[in-house]
Amino acid sequence: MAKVPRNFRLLEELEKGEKGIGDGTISYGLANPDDIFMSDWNGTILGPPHSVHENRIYSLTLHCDQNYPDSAPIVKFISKVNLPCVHASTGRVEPSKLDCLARWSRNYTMETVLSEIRREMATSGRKLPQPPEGSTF
Amino acid sequence: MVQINIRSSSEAKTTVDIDLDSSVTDLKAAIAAKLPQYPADQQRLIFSGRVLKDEDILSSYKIAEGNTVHVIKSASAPRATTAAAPSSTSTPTSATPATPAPTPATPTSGSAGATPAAAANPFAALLGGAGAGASGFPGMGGMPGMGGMGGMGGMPGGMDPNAMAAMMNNPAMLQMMSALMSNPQFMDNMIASNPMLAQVMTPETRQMMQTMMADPNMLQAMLSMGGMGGMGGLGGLGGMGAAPAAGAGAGAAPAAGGMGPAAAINPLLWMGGPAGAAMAAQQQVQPQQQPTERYATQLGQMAEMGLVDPERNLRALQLTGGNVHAAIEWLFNNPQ
Repeated sequence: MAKVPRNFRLLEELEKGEKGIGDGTISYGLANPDDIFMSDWNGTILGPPHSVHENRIYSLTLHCDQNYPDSAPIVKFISKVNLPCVHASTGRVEPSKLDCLARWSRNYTMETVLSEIRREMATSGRKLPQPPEGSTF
Repeated sequence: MVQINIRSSSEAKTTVDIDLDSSVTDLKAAIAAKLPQYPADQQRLIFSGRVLKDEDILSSYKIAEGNTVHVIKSASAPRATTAAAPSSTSTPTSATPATPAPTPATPTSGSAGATPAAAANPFAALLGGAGAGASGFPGMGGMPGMGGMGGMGGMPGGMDPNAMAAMMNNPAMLQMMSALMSNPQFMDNMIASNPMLAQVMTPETRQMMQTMMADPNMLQAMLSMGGMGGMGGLGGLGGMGAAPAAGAGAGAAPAAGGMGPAAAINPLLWMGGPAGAAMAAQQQVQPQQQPTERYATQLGQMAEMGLVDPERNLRALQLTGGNVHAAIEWLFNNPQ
């Protein structure tokens, strides 16, 4: 099967992000719509219900380098969060600690990454004490 | 002027026509006009991975025709309270409904008809009605009680099991219920206000109900069954309608633990109203289903939320009559 080139793939993701995914529990879009390389993206994750994250909105950045989607995006939290897979001082999502980044496949998308992080919030991070809402890395 | 789609976490969807040089505040007002359950000051808007700030102009987010903005209700939303609750303060058992309130309801739990607060605490309303009823004037005074019962029907598991237990062990409460239920006029009012109930109410069943209700022991047995299976309890309406004689038989042996028979003699839960009746009909068809089958959907939802112990999930669902929200609350309030 032919490989989808980076640009086509990112345009697909852009369109999906603008249409809105599901119920809005995750969302993403280009940080700078004039960026013809489509490298930098914003993402939000709505904290899953019945966890300490409930009703919080977390902001993240995603960076898709020139090798995307052959290589995984670099994901960083802007909103402070306490999760095992997130570096405590930089906010960087550590690829070795998030399964979908550790075993990246070019079929994965930014949506995959965001929903996997949200799943972490509902599982390993469900009861972890969290920094005050609104604080940033 | 462009049209943008608005989607919310509670399934509500709409479209809004707005100028791109309007502010986010304007957009919030436009959304509030379309979705009254999302007042402008409680909205948080998300578009393309960003939270929209009130003072910003929409075009700065490059929002375009056909794009989707997600609306989320903010956590600081003031909670609705039941209208009937204040009257319960005058009853001697007002401490009962004050047992730990369930954790904040999520935005999705706002079912039509019953506010989350009303559903979570039907006994406040019930006590209000009971107080008025017991004072010897059951006419309109009984009505707030019925409202609370409606909430119960809409969300049978919404009550905190702890509150339930506390109530069952409260003699004053039992006495009041007993006095209330043995008052024929209250029964008449109850029946008159619920056409579904009137249909199944033959002179025989009424007689049976009053006899049962006048007996505090019976009442306690029934209440404890209600606690064990709200869902099963709603089967009662169907059971009575189909075979009042069978119901009377079951009434003689309240300890027969099966969901079906237990429900048939549980007039407390009859008051669920039409929504409850619909569930009752469903329940009646397959009373012998295994719990794992009956709660398969709910178990799936709970597993998705990351609650990974199926046995505890099942137990919580059984305790709360299959209500996922109440089950999760129970799990959180009863750590292993």
